[in-house]
Formats: sequence, structure tokens, C-alpha cells
Amino acid sequence: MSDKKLIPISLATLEPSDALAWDLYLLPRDSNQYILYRASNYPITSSDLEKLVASGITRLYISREQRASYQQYLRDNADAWLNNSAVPLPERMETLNQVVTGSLSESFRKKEAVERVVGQSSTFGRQTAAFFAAEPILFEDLVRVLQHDYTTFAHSANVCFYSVLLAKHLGFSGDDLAQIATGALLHDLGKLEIDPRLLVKDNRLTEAETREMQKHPTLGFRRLCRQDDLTAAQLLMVYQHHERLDGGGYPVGLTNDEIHPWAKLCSVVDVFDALTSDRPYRTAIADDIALGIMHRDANTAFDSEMLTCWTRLISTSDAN
Amino acid sequence: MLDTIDLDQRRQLIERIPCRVRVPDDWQRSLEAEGCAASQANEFRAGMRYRVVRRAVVQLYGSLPAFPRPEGYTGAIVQDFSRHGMGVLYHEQLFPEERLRVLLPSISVEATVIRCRRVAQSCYQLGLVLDRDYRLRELLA
Ligand SMILES: [Fe+2]
Repeated sequence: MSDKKLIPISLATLEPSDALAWDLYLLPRDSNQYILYRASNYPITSSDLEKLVASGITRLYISREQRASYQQYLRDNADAWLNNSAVPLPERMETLNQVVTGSLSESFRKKEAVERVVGQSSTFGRQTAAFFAAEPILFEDLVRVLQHDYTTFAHSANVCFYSVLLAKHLGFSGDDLAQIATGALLHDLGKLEIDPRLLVKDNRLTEAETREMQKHPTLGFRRLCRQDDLTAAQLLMVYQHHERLDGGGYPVGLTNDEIHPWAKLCSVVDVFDALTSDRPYRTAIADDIALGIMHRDANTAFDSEMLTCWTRLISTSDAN
Repeated sequence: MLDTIDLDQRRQLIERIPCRVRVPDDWQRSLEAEGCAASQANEFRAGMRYRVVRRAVVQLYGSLPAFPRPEGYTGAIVQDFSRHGMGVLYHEQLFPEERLRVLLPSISVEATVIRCRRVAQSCYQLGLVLDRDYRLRELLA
């Protein structure tokens, strides 16, 4: 099998099973020749998995065409591999990120029905929150596994992970973490209704284009506001994440306490991710420079307590 | 039923229901100018907005699941209107997609919020889209 047609999967994500849907390949140590390890629909037992682990194998390979089926498998078994403490934390984090971005990109691209997007986001929100609540996740571990491109789904996944990390350190409860994670995954949903050419434009937006782009919180809110499985706070994350404390934000121009705390939290990590990710019109800015820029706007754009907490989280990681 | 409220009852409601909008001074002046700069037309042209200040009463209905609203009437100020839109000053923020009825002395219209902008504390400018097209004289009567 040519290596171009194969993609790696984490051994840690596999559960003993009567049959998996894909042929599994192995890359033996000191070899660049992939060999068929287990044909599809052939049982894989826990002792098979243990033997692989004992021999130092952490990855198997599947055919690229079977990526979608593997993604579905990961979604169906997320609770099992996320809670498997035998698997190193960064590996579980990386897999979680792949699952969330993979699924979001699929449903955003297909413009799936809003009920399905909300349902899927709620499931990921709950799983992410439980995972973050149970594990000592550090910013430096997290940031290493995130994808920093400008696509709406990669950004939404990052904002979700960052929001939960910040909310956890601000002392929010487990239920709140799950709701915040879901709200964060949906916060930019309105961008799906914006002309895609604006989202990837590689120079400054004109005034008219900026006005168009600034419609996305309202568009997202309008799309989601009749969903009775979303709370007011989650909807306000979507609607208010571009408001500023000094009233200079959009769409309403609210000030201070008129902005929901979850929207303030979303705003901090949203801007941080935007600054530290590659954009069509500029390359990513280093974390400390991004924080410097944001601190100039403490109390005018951002809630200073939240910004300080976020800075501390990042600085602690840097010190490590 | 509200649909059966007649002209006298509407006028009484508008007089009786307090308006909690606090219009800032610099807005007060702009509210004084009435009419349409483009012409003295007595009918709407495409895209034309007619500036007018009218005390009105708003009744919210069909609120969003996550944002329930109390029943009842609240005072508001109509600022301008077009064939199918209306600008209204209201004392609190309303959300896009919220449904409301605006009672003017002349007529009662049903509308949906499409945008809301904060002007000042207790003063929000609502952009409404009306359920059907209106003629200028229906709204001004
Ligand atoms: Fe946004």
C-alpha cells in the first residue's frame, strides 16, 4: 500500500471490537514499508491492542478514503477514548481537536440543518467540558494541538477549547462549562451566511465589506434564536461576542454590565485566537505580543479580570 | 382582542401608558425635524424614509423561547417609517426576530425586529420590518 493513500490514527482511539470497518496497517520500526495488520471485519481484541502498546506502537494507519468512517467511529466512541487515562493527555487532546474540527468542517460545508449543528455542538460541548474538568489541561499542551488557520470551523473549535479552559480557571461550574463550550462552537455560525470571498480576502476590507462582515453575530443569532435547546446565555455569546465594554462594539453597542459575562469571556479568547492564527491578510502574532495588544484594550474592550486570568494561564504555561 | 381596539381606545392607551425612553439631548433636536428631505410627496417612493415623531404604544408578543417577555403595553417613540419599515425608540434592548405590535393613533401595525442599536441608557433604536406594505397616509392619518 502506498503511504500517500494512508493516514495515521491513534491506537488509543480503538476499542476492542468484533469488527472495525477499515483495514488496519502497521509501520514496523526501522521500516518504511506498511504492512496489513488486520483486515476489516476481523475482530480486534484487548490483548491484540495490549500487545501493540507493549511493542511501542502508538499509531496504526487506514486508507485515506476511510477517513469519514473513522471520524464517525471517533464521534460514537468519544466518551471511551477521552476518559482512557492510559493514553497520554496531549494525544487525547489532539484527537478531540481532530474530531471537533473534522465534524464542524463537514457540517459547516454541507450547510446542515441548524438542529443538527446545534445537536452535534451540544455533544462536543458536553464531552469537551467533562474532559477539561477532569484533566489538568495546560494552555501550552492545548495550543500545540490546535490548528491555527482562518477557517471558521478551526477557529470555532479553538474558541471552544480556550473558552472552557478560561471558564474553568474563572471557577465556572461543570454544567456551565458544557454550555459555554457549545455556545463557543456556535459563536461564529453567522459567518456561514457571509460571502465566502470576504472571509478569505487577503487585504483590508472596504467599509461596505466591513459592514457586511459585522452582520455575522446578528445572522447567527437569527438562525439559532428559536432553538429551545439553547439558553439565553449561549445565544448571547453568539450575539454579543463583538461588543466592547466602552460601547464601541457591534451589533448593539452595549456597555459594561449590559454585556453577558459569557459573551465577554468569548470575546477575550476569540480575539486571542484571531491574533495568534494565520489570517489571509497577515501571519500569526506571537502569544505575548497578542496579549500586549489586548491589554491596551483592558477595560475598554475586554473585561480586565478575565483578560488577567487568561494572561496568567498563558504565562504559567510559558514559564513551564 | 387588540385588532378590535378602535381609534379612541388607541389614543387613550397612548396617553395613559408611560414612555420610559430617555432621549439624549443631542438626539432631541434631530427628532424635531419632520418630513422627508427628498420631496413633499404624499406617498412613499421606493426606499424613501419619512421622518416623523409620534408617541406610540408597543405590545410584545411571540417572544423567543430564551427571552420571555411580560405581557402588557409599553410606551415608545416612532422616529421614522418607510413603506415596509419603521424606526422606533424603545427603553430597552429587543432582539432580532422578536415580534411586536405598534399602536399609533392612526393605526396598529405588526412588525418584527431586525436590528437594535443602543443610543444611550434607556434609549435603543429598533429597526422594524412591517408585516405588510403601508401607504404613507395610513400611517400619518
Ligand atoms: Fe465573530
